[in-house]
Amino acid sequence: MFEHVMLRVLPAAALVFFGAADLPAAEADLVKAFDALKAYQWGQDRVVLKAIDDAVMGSHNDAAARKSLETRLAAVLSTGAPAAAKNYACRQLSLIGSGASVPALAALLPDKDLSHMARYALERIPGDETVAALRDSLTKVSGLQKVGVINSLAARRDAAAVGSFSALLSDADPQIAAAATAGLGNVGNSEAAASLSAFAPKAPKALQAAVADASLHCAERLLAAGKKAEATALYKELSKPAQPKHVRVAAMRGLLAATPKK
Amino acid sequence: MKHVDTTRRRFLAVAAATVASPWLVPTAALGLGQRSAPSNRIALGVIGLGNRNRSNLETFLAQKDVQCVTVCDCFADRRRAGKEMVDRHYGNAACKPTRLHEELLERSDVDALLIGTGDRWHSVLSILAAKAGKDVYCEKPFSLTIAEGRRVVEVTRRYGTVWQCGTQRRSNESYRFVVDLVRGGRIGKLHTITAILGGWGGNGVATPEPQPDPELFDYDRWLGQAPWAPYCRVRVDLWRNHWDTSAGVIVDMGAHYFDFAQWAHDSELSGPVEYAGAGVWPEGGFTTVPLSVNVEARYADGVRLRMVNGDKGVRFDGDKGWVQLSDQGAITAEPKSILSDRFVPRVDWAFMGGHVRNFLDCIRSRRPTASHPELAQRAHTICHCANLALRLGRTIHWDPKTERFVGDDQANRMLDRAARPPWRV
Repeated sequence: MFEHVMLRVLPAAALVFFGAADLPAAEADLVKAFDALKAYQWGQDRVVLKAIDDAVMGSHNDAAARKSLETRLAAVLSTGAPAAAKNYACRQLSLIGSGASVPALAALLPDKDLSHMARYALERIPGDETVAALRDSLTKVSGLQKVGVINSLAARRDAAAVGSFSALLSDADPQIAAAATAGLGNVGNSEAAASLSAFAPKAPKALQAAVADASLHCAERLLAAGKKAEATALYKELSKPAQPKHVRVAAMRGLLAATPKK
Repeated sequence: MKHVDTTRRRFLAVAAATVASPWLVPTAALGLGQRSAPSNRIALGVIGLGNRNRSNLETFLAQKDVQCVTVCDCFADRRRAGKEMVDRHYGNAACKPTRLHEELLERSDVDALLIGTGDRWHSVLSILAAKAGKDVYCEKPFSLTIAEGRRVVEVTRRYGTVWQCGTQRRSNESYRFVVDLVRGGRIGKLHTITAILGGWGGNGVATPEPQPDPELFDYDRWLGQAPWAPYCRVRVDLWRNHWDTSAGVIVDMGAHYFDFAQWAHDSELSGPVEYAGAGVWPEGGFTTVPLSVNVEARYADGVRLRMVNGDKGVRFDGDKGWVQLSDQGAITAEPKSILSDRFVPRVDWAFMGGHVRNFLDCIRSRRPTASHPELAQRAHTICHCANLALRLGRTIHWDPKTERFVGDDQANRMLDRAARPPWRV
């Protein structure tokens, strides 16, 4: 709370102490832009935020500048600023955010208006804390927000999420179940393969195509990791007559890739 | 006699027995002027009925071995217009319109899709179509990020589906002619390729408006994977001017011209390693893409690829001369002797017949198309790299083998972006 207040007060204090005319022009413009950001609404001209755009792009080789910008952007997320302002902050944090921004971004994951843009940033921020925050949020989100979090964990190929994905295969929400299925395919490790194989015989009709595709994807991942036997087992299952022709053809192609040449 | 590994021989025999029947009954000899028998026709579904894709559809309808069975669009009036166009062609009312692409993908009687929806949907639909076992002709640009384009390559490869990028210049004799000239050394050693991309413009104010009735215009679906923003007419009319839904002039013409450049330069499975440039940016407003550009990319072998605005065309400069192809198909060269001893074709950019025919023939033969996914991905990668150099305002270095930027965390973060759920790319 104190830090939040100080982050709001300090730039203004700088203006009072130095006077706006005394600040370097770039910093004065930045202060003005962050001020505008506090109340930025949809439909407002984005030119009022240009100084922030420029500062973010220009911080490429300046770790201190990047850190300062990140702190100021992350602070916006926990205020009463409009959704358009937080949307903008998330976009910028996607380029310069670090683990320091993860808590503020993760807090937005249950928000139906901001969850996607929070993930827009989180997916691009490297580090274990980002993935852990996404994983932790799985029990706190629902509906499309949950689909999104699953997709983000899948994009990061989070092996630790396989257990959660497996539990969601039978979710009552078909979009969640489909996302979890695809997620297992993208993680593509042995545990994911086992989960898909166990689920396949009892998958509801609406999910069977997704299970087949995830299994094919998983097999590709296993093959790339040198786990030929596991990949072959998946491909053989998918070659059976019960599968649609295009799945069987894909499985055949996979078996061919997995079969050793002498 | 060459020894063939018995394991692979046995496998191939089993595979052949399992999938012995092709998707389509092989076409009997087509009588001249006759339409193919229904069982020999490729059943086509169309997604996207704006101006460009209706023009594409005309070319498809003219093919005797195609039957368009369904059309899909987020706009009710476009669905109606598309159905009327198809029904008028066949003289019946059989074409089924739908707002939902899921219905189209579920139909086992649809063999192939013609996709021309707007850039943000192209990769999503291409991937969904491949997963449904359907072949695709997809308008360019087919990706908004490098990573999503790569996923299209991976999924189409997984299923072995036929996929053609709508870069019809690949099937254009004028372009082939220039490629042969350049590759044949008629201009000497190639050192510079200049892609003249045309102009760009338009801006507006994105003041939120009431969202239309989804039955008339399904705005949420129209947005697709793009970040949500309140509906306004400007956002829909100028979708090509915003990074969320498009990638501007560089990708609009670059998808064609960089593919052409790589073809002539014989670098189709690679790309430039360095990008630098400047753009003229709008001062605020809805438009976020540059209005004009001046970018220079460099290949590892030193060849430069320049991107500028102007009257559309591509010019190749070598140490013994140059040759230029305008978008209307006019070929000029210096010295003129480069062209004097041969027939010079002139085929306008808009010629579609060869490219559509190539796609349809590949559906039957299962061979790679003229603009297959890997070629398209490499050309589009140049577009995205050039845009990133402009957006980041600095020189960036690209590794075509690893498909990552060298020493640039911000650029690498922009290789991909999170899709708005429920869509996944």
